[in-house]
Amino acid sequence: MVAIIGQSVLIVAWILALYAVIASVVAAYRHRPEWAVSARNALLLIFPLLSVVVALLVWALVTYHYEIEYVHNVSERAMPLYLRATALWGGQAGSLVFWSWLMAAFASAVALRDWRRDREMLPWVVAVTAGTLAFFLFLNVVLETPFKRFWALPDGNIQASVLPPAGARAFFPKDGRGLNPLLRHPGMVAHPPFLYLGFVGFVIPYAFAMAALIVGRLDARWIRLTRRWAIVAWLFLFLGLILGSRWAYDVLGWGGYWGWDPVEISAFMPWLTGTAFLHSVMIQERRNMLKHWNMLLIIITYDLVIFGTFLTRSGVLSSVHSFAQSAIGPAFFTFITLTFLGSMALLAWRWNDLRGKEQIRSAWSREALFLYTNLVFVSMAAVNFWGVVYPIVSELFTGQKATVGPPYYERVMGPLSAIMLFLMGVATVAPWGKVDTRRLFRMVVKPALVGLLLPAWAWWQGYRKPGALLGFALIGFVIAVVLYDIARGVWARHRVHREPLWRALVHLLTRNRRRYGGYIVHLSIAIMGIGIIGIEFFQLETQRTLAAGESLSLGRYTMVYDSVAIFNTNDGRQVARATVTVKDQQGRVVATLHPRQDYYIRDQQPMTIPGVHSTWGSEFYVLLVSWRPITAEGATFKVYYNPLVKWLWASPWIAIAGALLAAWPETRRRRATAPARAATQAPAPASA
Amino acid sequence: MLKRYWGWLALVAGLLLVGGFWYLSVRNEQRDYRLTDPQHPLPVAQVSDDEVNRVAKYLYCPVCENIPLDTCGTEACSRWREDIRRMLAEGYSRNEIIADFVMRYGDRVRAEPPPEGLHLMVYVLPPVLLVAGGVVLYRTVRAWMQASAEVAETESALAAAQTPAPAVEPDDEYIRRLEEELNR
Repeated sequence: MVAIIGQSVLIVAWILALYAVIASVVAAYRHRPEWAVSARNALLLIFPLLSVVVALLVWALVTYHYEIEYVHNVSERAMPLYLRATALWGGQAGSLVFWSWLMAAFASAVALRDWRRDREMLPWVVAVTAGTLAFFLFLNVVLETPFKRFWALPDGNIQASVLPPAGARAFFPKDGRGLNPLLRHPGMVAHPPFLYLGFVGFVIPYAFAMAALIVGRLDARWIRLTRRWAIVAWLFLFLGLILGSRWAYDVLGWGGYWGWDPVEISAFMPWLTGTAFLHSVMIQERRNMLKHWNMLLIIITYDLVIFGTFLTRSGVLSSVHSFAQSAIGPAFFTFITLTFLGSMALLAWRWNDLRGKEQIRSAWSREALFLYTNLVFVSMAAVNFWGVVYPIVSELFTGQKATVGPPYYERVMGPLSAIMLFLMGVATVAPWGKVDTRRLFRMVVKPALVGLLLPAWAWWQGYRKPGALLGFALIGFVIAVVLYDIARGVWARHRVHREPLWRALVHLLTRNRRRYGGYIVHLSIAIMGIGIIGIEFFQLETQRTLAAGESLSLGRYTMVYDSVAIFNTNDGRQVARATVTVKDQQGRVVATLHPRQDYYIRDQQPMTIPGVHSTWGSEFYVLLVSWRPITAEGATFKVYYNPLVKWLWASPWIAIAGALLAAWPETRRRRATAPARAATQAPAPASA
Repeated sequence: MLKRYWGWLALVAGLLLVGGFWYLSVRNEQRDYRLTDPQHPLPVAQVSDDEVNRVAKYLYCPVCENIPLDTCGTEACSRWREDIRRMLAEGYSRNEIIADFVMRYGDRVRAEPPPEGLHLMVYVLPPVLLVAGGVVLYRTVRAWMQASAEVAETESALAAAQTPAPAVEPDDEYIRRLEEELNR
């Protein structure tokens, strides 16, 4: 029953999405506003319908409806409630439904905004969002429905389908197969929603961009309207990536946070182009230039979002052949090709109308620097793209798959990140328009000198590789320059308006939220860089077999192996849990860790959970690799010493604060600061 | 005269710099070594896990997707690591071991494809792309700066008729810009 209702509602939602596309196109072509309203209402209806679908699926998961194939595949009775509910995105079909649901939520939020000033764009925004939605619902309804049921055929075979085959009886398995053990982790519960929110968030600016191209409203209006969407999407994508890294660090047991796996990269690429987009739209708003480029960036970001879902979902990564066999792969491929070519055709059609005031007054002006960062971001994305698709290219041409692993990416991303940090620092103080290069140099040199404190500190701490020291110097420069710029602003307000310092700070940050929100995000990225350099350059690892009571030393710690306990749990795991004592250089006991291996008996899958002693200086990360169960005389440990990595885990909190500050609605501000604005005009004539 | 070639010189210098860095980092990654010479094999137990992992890091598990051999937890992979240990003890060099794995399981076990044939694209394309991007950017910025200079000329001709602006203290200039920024 659940399955039939769910599938029917899904089909209705799909039809509504198709209708919304057609009705809005009719509305635009025939100038029939009532059709536009109808299309919008259809779009608005999809969200509640998909909410019903999601609720039904969660209910089926929570209440053990194992006659539904999807429920059977991703859950089992022994799983705790929160895992059963979030198994909604534990498999292919469910995660696509979840994607559509989030997309519908965003589309509804957009459709509900006040359209009075942008009426001509409404039908096209609806058409693009509903079109994207229709594609995903098509996948849900036709290719990957989560509502297939099990049926026992007369010949005794079991088959899964939505409608009963002739003569079949309903079949009710007693229990499900359970979620992939690797996914049973809070990080994996939170990671997909954040990532998907980031993905669908970028669809909105894309929809407005396409609408602007089609109706020919080629000023910066579409950018202004979607600025916040882009920032929010960026933040979610960023957090999704971080949560994914954290999960890898905690669960996958290789002592690292990022393995340059194609699945990671496929989410990283739209983040890169999205970041470039966030920066380059500012040039269009301020200088009325780069209109083509911004269009191109959002088109690429949109298609990379779809491409990311495609890469991870179509099986093309494991081999070209599994791609050809999967139904979903060719569908994605077609959709990406069509949207990309279609968008590019629109862009080409409007090319001449998009010409702006393409001028740069100085090679060191802020707009020029933004342009350079754009090149770096897009290069990063291109290099990542090449690394991800090369194995497929190689398989197509040589018949043999190749692996493009971390060395490739590290070689490219290291230097590019260094350039990025440098530009980030200079652009913080570089003015728009005309630049007095000597003055800019004077403004940059002081923070650069202060920033040298960081590599000096690193040297003193024993982190002495030249590449790392250069990285620390650049990070120190970025941090110093951002703090310097904020301090200068606060001081100036303090002097001119006679405000107390703290109020000057609050006013400064809230009066130009986008600028200072951005700077705070820069701080977060710089701090993240400290952690990345720490682990990338100075990670130590060793692996050794220890008898009980024996010890090994790595970095600044010594660990003693005490014992291992082996027991079974009632959720089907055999757990080997070691106890090790960690001592610092003075021989003081600083922690007792319990690295363990959970062996999921039915899945025959081991999971290695590290024991971690974490401080701001380093993390001591212990993995239990193997043990001898009967005599308990020895166990093999793989131990990592990860310097400074905690800074990486702490930095996203700062980014959240910065992005929220940048995206916070400013409607209240206009009213509140109207008198203040009059006041601030006073000193302006004096200096002009 | 020199000025005319300056751009080309910069391009060549950029290519050499990027390419050189690239080449060195590739070579550094693939540097060969052996633990012992083949005439004097070591006892297998003397080859530490760390030595094994140092080689295994550059190999990908032949059965699992995208997992480096040094971190893979499966039974098969631990057997492969024992193979590496045995070979190191017998005096095989790092690259000989990798070549042996490639012979047995194909190119995909290498963390990076060998720099030959079509695979050269992995090594050559990114630096070429970067330099090409740099060139395009350089030309664009230069063209836009020229466009701006032409506008500035006409503007300054207009402004010359008026009285010169008073000198501005850097700090006041900064405050003015800040206020402007804040009031947008």
